[in-house]
Amino acid sequence: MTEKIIVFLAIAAAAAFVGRGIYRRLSGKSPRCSSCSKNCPFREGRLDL
Amino acid sequence: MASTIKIALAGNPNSGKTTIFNAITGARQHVANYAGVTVERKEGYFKKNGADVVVVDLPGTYSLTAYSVEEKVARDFLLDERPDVVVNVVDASNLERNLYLTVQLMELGLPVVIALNMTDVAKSRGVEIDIPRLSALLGIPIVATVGTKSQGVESLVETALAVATGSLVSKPAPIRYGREIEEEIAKILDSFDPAAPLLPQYPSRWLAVKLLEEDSDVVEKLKTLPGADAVLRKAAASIAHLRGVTGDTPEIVLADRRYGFISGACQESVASTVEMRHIMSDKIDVLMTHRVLGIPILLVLMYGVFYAAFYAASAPGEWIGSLLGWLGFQISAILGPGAHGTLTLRSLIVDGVIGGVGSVIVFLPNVMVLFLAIAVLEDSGYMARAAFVMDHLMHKMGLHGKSFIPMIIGFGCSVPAIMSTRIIENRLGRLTTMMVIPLMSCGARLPIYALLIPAFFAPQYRAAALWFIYVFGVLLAIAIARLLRGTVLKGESHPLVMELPPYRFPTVKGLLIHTWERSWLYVKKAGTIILAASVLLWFAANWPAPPADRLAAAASPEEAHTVVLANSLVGRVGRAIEPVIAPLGFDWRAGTALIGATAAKEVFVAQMGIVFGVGESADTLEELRGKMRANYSQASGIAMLLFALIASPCVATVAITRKESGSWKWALLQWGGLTAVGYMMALVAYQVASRL
Repeated sequence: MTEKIIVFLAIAAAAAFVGRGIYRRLSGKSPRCSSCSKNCPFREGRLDL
Repeated sequence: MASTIKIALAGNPNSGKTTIFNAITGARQHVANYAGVTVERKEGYFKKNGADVVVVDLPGTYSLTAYSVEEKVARDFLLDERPDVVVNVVDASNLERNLYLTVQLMELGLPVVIALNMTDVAKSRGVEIDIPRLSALLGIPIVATVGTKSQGVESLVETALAVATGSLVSKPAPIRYGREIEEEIAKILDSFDPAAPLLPQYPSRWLAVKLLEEDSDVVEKLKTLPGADAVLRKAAASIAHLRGVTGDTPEIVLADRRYGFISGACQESVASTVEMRHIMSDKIDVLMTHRVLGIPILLVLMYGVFYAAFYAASAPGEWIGSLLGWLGFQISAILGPGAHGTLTLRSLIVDGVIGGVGSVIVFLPNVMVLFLAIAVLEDSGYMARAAFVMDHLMHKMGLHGKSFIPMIIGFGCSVPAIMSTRIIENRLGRLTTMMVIPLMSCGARLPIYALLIPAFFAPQYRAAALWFIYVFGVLLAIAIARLLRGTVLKGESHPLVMELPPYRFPTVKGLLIHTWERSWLYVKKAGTIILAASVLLWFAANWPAPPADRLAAAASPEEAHTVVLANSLVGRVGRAIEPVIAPLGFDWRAGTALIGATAAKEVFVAQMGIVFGVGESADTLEELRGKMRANYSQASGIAMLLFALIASPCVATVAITRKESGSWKWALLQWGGLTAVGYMMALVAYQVASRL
């Protein structure tokens, strides 16, 4: 039973993570690449061209 | 000591000449005009060691040709009034440009002292000048000054007076113009009559050089003199000869030689500086940005990058694959073997996480080598040349010149590349560039290529195949952009104005930081989005479970796996789309993996790892490639490569295109258009390749 709960939670967490990411991108809230980090030199507003 | 010493102050505009003049003369100045022209003539006076000193501030000029009034005034003053010493104020932070005037002063045969001004600015810009060495090379005393702080001015005055009185020698080094020109100078000198010099106040070698340069002022003066015809004829013959030999006017060739002399002097005396790097950069760029050779050099460099990405990274990739295989075995041993079709924790970790994330992470070494190579090209300054070289080609195709810069960024990731199209002022040009940026193979495509290419190509063709897919993406982007510019996005394009920064030796620290930043993002992505997607894909590949009797009838674990997969969500969706993708040589497994790649491109590899169940193999990577080979033909492999390159940009790309273009229309046109082109390309490639 514990195993089933762990597996279920893992699937639910993954679904929530992916769903949130796609929603945020398509809604324009976070139009970044999926690996965006504060170190990324190309992060929005930091383009130094 | 002469009762009156005349010092002329010469220098480029903005070299700080007037500041030096004021510092030397203080308030004792007189301003008038040169005779016949409205050019200001400033004179200052002071007494030193019992002598009266007159300082004449000549107009600021870059050279001593007779093209402008200022130049002519300065030259005439120097030739006609023969000052006792010329103080040449040189901006140390623009040494090369300033020395052109110095060389011309040297040719006049006048005693010269250099005031090497603005040495503080030069130092702050990293220019380190070996003053004694430069002085020895030019044969001229040099005094470092900072006019704005009056530093070195006292010493400059003392040196100038010492030269003027003969106690210090200023013997400018002769400028040699090379055998061809020197022979012509000698011929003209031979035509001079030593007993009756034509213009006795002018040094004869200088006169000969000016005749070769067709200096209008000198020629006009000579024409009025009797006996000058023979000299002018000789000069005309020499000019014609030099034009024929060099293909240019002697004036240009002589200027080139002077710059060559300056360049040589700077290389000898200016150590590891920006100035020096400019000189070296110019030399390297003769080759790198060559009209004909530029693009082949770029292609060869790219080939080298991909060769390194494959071969330098192959062994570490195998080690990671073996490590993951070992990890899968250990976890299975701890959690116990799970039956197929059951959503067990063991299956989640081994088949889902290790199979999915592991398949992506084995390509980390390839990604690191690729990013290291890109960092070397960027940090050295070569990428700016690549854009410059490509600009010629792109402009011929009617594209915006600046478009190649975002395209280069697109090799890392399309999202920042699309943001960087903001540098393109023209909206139509910007939209066009945005539309085609996904065709630049981003870092997330590399694991797909690194999985498929070794699976379907012999070792000797792998680097070439990778090179081809990148180059094909660029060419296709240019072709599609051209199409767009000729149809829906019609408009004018503008030329690229681009400065080429000097080449630099990349620092180890810089390279490590750049490689690490991007590689870490790859690892982070594998640990977040790819991990989550892998869990979902594992679930979709195992649920719903097949009927127990069908599973029991399976003869082997591989067959059982196939039964589970065929009955799962992945299997059902895959079979639904199979009629559409079958003409491309894809089966339902590859089809669903390519759909999954819309979330993030690496998901293709993760899903292949999951559907082929490689989580528990001894070597994840080789096992997966072996299964790909067993299930697909080379023609299918080529079609997959093209489809992964062209079709279905990832969700982040679509989102940023919508934001930057300001409408869903362009985002959907990009997604739909590229998917349609990708489908067609893959279809043609598969149909042709499978018949060969």
